[in-house]
Amino acid sequence: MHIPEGFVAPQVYVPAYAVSMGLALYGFRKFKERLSERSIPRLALLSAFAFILSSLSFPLPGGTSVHGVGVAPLALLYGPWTAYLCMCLVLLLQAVLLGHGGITTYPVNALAMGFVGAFSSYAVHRLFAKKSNAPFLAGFFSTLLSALSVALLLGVHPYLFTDPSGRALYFPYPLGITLPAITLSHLPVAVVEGLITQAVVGLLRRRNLEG
Amino acid sequence: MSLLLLFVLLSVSLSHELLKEVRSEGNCILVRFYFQDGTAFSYEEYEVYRKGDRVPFQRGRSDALGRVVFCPDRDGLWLLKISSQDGHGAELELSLRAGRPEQRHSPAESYKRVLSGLGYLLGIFGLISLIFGRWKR
Repeated sequence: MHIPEGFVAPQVYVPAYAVSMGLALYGFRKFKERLSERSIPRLALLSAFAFILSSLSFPLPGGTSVHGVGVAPLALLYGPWTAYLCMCLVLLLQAVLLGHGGITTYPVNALAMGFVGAFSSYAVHRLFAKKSNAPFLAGFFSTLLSALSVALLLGVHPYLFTDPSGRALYFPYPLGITLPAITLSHLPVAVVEGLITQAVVGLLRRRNLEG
Repeated sequence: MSLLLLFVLLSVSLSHELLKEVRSEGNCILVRFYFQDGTAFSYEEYEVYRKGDRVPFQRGRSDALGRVVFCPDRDGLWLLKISSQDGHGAELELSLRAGRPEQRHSPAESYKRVLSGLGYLLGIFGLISLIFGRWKR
């Protein structure tokens, strides 16, 4: 799901840097307010969990590979702003250490996986708060909506950025290809992510280790 | 603020690690060398050896896009050395079967990187816990 270097136009990633860093600064203030001595080790563990989950790609038939995000447990237990900030850190380390994503695509990845992932899981969980499978739905939709935002962002590139001959300057495939290719391939991952979120959130809540 | 500075320093210090991408093109092997920030490792000297040979099979300079192409005459182990004057470089061992590399990168290398990422992550939260008292004051 990480968008690699060179796929996103400067007209997109420069404003995305401003937006994502502005949100991160605001999120940092929220993070500081909410932080307690008790929560730091758990946040570290859940961030490490997200780092591992989003670093491991699984091949799918057709030559593509997919991975989870792991942002939902963070968002449900510590709030979406804290989750977004932790994902910014996770994605930065992945960009510089693993080459997943890149320096120019970092803000776009942070917005898609961090912001959309964190806030969608939080909103879905609140919407289905009375249902026992709310964490599953939160994990499922956070992955699917993150994938959808990546597909939308990449898919609009060939319409917006072309040379005089009409050739795409950056990402070449249109929405008709990116939407099914990215979102459908992430459906099985979203199911697994939902199950993992249900298990992790349930475990931490049963042991009174949240918040 | 100090955390932000740490992130910036971290990204700058690690953005110049040399990465490589290996592909088969017909009967030849194409290796592209580049830095984390996408900059090509251009016009740098390389040597390709059949593993065990002292005389290079091929030598030259990478092209403008940081690419090295060589066409091996047999399967087995091959060694590609590339380096620049400012201390960057890499040694790449390739195991060829039917003229193709058996694997594009070592899985052990990826695991090491994931583990180092985990180390950085836990270290950063360790720092947060150290400066937590100042934030709460």
